[in-house]
Amino acid sequence: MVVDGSNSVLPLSEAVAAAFAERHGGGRVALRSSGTGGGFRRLCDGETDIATASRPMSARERARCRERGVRHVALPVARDGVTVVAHSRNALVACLGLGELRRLWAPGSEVSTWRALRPGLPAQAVRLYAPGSDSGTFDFFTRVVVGRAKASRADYDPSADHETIARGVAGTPWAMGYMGYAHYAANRHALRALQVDTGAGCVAPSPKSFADGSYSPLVRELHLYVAEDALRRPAVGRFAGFFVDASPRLAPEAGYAALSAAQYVRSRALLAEATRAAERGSS
Amino acid sequence: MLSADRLSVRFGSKTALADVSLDVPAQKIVSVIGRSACGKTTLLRAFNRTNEMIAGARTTGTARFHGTDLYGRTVDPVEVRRRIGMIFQRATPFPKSVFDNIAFGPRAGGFAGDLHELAEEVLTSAGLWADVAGDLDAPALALSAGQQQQLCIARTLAVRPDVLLMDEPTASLDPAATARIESLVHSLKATYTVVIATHDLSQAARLSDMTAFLDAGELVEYSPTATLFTNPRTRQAEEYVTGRTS
Amino acid sequence: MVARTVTRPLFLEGTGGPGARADRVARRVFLACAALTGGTAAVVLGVLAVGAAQFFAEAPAGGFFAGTTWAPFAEEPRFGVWPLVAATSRITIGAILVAAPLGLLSAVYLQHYAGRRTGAVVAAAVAALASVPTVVFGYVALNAATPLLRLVWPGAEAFNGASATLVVGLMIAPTVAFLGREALAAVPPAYFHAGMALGASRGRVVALVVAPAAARGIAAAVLLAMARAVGETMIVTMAAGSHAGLAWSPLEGVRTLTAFVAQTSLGDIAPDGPDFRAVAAVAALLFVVTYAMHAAGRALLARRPAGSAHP
Ligand SMILES: Nc1ncnc2c1ncn2[C@@H]1O[C@H](COP(=O)(O)OP(=O)(O)OP(=O)(O)O)[C@@H](O)[C@H]1O
Ligand SMILES: [Mg+2]
Repeated sequence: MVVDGSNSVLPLSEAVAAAFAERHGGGRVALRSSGTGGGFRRLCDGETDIATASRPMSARERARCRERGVRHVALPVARDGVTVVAHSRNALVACLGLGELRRLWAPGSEVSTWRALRPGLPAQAVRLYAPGSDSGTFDFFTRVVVGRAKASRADYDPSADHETIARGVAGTPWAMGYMGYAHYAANRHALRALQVDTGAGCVAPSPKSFADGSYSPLVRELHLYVAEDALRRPAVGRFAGFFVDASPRLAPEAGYAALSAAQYVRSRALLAEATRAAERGSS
Repeated sequence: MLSADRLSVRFGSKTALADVSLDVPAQKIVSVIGRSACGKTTLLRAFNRTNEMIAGARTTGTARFHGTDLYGRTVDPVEVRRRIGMIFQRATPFPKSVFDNIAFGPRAGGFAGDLHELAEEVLTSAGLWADVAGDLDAPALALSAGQQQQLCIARTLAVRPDVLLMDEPTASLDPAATARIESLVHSLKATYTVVIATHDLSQAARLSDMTAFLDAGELVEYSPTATLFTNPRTRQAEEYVTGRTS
Repeated sequence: MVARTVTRPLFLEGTGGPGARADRVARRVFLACAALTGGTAAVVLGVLAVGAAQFFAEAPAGGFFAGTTWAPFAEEPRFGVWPLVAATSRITIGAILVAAPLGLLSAVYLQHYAGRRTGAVVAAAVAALASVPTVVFGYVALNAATPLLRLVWPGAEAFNGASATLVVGLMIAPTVAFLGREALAAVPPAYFHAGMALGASRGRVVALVVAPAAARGIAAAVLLAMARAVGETMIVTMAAGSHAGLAWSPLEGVRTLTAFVAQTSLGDIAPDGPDFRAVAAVAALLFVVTYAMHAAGRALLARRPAGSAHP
């Protein structure tokens, strides 16, 4: 069984796959993280069974999937907030406004020092680390902060792997970047998460602020996209079901906010329906 | 002046020179003769400590120069080679200019004088000056085989050694070039002590004062040249110089 | 009995024998292998060429070679490859500055100084260094070289050119050492002996006679090692970062041609998208450069110095 897609979902997928292996034994689940875009592409090419996603499928991607006759079902599994991080010894900045983030990250931005971002800060260069253009987190962040998906300055260090971003920011004085909260949580000793002022005051990212809506513009739902054809194999359905059932417990442990109970019930219903559709299709 | 006392050289388990003892008088020419592989080259190399550059070579016994043991603990082999120069069977000019070939040795020895003057002097001694005076920057490898050997002699003279070891210096030369080198060797006798290994018995007879006959690494006979060629003390030497083989 | 004269027909008779049949089969197998290798090379080159051609059909070559902004995936993509070329050049030159002295001194030591036993030990150590997988070097660059560097220069970034350069230098040093030693070994020993007999020290003979005589081979060793540095991917991908800027400080991150190809390809690129075409263009450039360096190196090795007729 092959699962590919969002790097932001990876810590959750890993936790679920470990629990699944413990419960059901032997079931080999191969986890990759080519980015949400790459995950969708491979799902629609029939290369993988499940795509994990940190943003919804775009109209273009949906059309491509349809063209290739790959039907799929999207199951929400958790909530995550994009987290802005800085070097751990940067104590001068605690909170950034959305406007400041926009000026910093807009295409062609010439903000190259902290002072240019906010007068009074030192004139140290801001070294930027962020996900590459195949990333759902990149698409989401640019849409929310800059206003258009994929609209971003280009002179930052892109990486498909959030761990690399964490390493870059942690190891470079005066650096900053953004990533999924779970990756921040796994490296919290080496990084400093910044609060974000979305208009109603500075809010720190945390599963609690993701759940109660106070961090809302930077919070997104994470999904599993399961190929309907793959559901004919009972193992795939079992894993997807297990993912949905285990998320309320594992998501908070891995650094996410769980969804409401009702939303998991709905995910279960969607999966059951898709499984029936797959069986109908095969008989 | 130069002497060997029970000098032996082994290459691995093979004995190339066995218990050779002889005295080379100053300002004389000594020739070393014998069949191929009898140890002529090895003996010459033992006198300027160039065997030790060959992996597996082991030298025992003593070689003395003005009474000093050449293999003594405090002796610098580089200094030995400066005092006792060697010319090889095959001319080996470096792939450099004529001038740089001459200058290599003196520069290595920290020569402070005028290198051009020195070059003219030694090239004249070696009989090559007239041929190369026009272009000392010409590549040495462009010279003929005979000229290359003359250059190698000049190059060795430039270090101002006391002794010249010459290993079949005319082996690959035509008769004219051979004659030139021979007259050169003859003229060198006034200032240098010369040890020359050769297969050419008439050359040995013409040039040398003393002749050493080696056989299978052993010194069979060491006599004045006239004696060795006309009235040898040993049967082996007689057979060899008369061309009869047992 | 008359002595049998071997005539030509006797040889021809043998063409149907079992030995000849085995020869023919072997010949076909070898031919098939050669064809497979050649065919693979042709396919790879074809894919690169087509991708690069498509790329240049959309992006003008002038902007590619002269541009100083590399942002292929931005909303308004910019394809100035100069920052990547500059990064590759800097790391290559820096690495050879590390590797050439290290490798050549090892070569000289092995060829002219080491005794039989110590020589074997040193040669084995160099061979061991040569067999270290590059991912291990990458790990060393990231987790040993960079932390050490930051003890000296705390301002060094997490991913930086200096660590990668140093470790790439270590990686290619064995290439310089082995090829350099071959070059020294190809010099007629007579040069060495003649030099020593003129009363020069070993070091002087090696430096002034043997090394110049081996100059071509040494240049080839350096060039081939540099070609390896240009093509080195794992170390720079892991340790040099992905910052396609024109940074001057070696303590900053840089993105090489190879790192761009590797890092972009990790993100699972679509074979028909613009990403692939940019990767193909960079890969084609990389191929042309390394191929030229290899060809130059081989040409140097093919022409032996004059005078090597002497044994
Ligand atoms: N480098 C070496 N390694 C091993 N054995 C050697 C080496 N050089 C010489 N020998 C051996 O030592 C013996 C004496 O060799 P040497 O070269 O002194 O003979 P030679 O009298 O000069 O011969 P030729 O007349 O052919 O020049 C020979 O048996 C030879 O095989
Ligand atoms: Mg000899």
